Amino acid sequence: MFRNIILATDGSAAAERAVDYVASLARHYGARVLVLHAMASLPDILGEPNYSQALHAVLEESRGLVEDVAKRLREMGVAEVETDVIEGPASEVILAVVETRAPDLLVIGARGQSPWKGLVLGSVSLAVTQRASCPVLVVK
Amino acid sequence: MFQTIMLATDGSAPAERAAALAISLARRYAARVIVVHACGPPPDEATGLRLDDVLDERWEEASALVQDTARRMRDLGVVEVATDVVAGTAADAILRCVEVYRPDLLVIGARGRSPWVGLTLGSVSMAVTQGAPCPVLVVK
Repeated sequence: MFRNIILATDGSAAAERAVDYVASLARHYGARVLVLHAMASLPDILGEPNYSQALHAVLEESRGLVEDVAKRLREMGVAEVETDVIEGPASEVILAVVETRAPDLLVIGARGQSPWKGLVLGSVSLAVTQRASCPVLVVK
Repeated sequence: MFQTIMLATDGSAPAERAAALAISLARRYAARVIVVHACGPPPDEATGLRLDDVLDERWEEASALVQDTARRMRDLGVVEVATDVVAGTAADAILRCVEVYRPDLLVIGARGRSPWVGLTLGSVSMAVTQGAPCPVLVVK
């Protein structure tokens, strides 16, 4: 029933809690997991060489994030884990990957790192839950 | 991870698909399932003596819906299934149930029977995903 699971993470507390759920589900169903992170685009105004340096730093950080999650998933017994970092607005990136990969389940933290803490459900998880074609597990 | 799973159903097609996922999860995790349905207020045109009939009828339909869902779950190997019908508008009633039963997971169809089919995510599943303290699995 769940063969392919995508975990969308931004390193937030809710996304961290989602890791445990993904590990458990992947183990119970023998599912493959894709750990996905949408990296925010940098403003062009930075100019060179600042832009390239900043991009390099953000990319390193993003790769570190997904690799760390992947490592923990493997340690928790998930056999097949891959990672991807894509630049762009989070909900658009996640929805595009969902469309391409057609997973059986998308797991996402309810609130991310956006500043609108007052909202119970974050704008990204809301948009993704609204528009994704697959079942979505929203972790608080 | 999942010991108690709550399925909120209104008998719609997404709710039926949600039931299928709930069954699968309940079997994998040996979880008990609580099938809940919110029995909404009667239409405005029902008044006086007719109102009692309408209410009775709705309540019977609601009971039949959850009983039927529960029976199918048992037939498909879910050992422990309970049902509950609660009065009230859907989102409020479901969130009250979540408070009472404290499930580890709430499973709900993205769109129910409300007339706003144009919206990808129904108002009920959206409000419930926002308001529930537990993880919510939204099924399309």
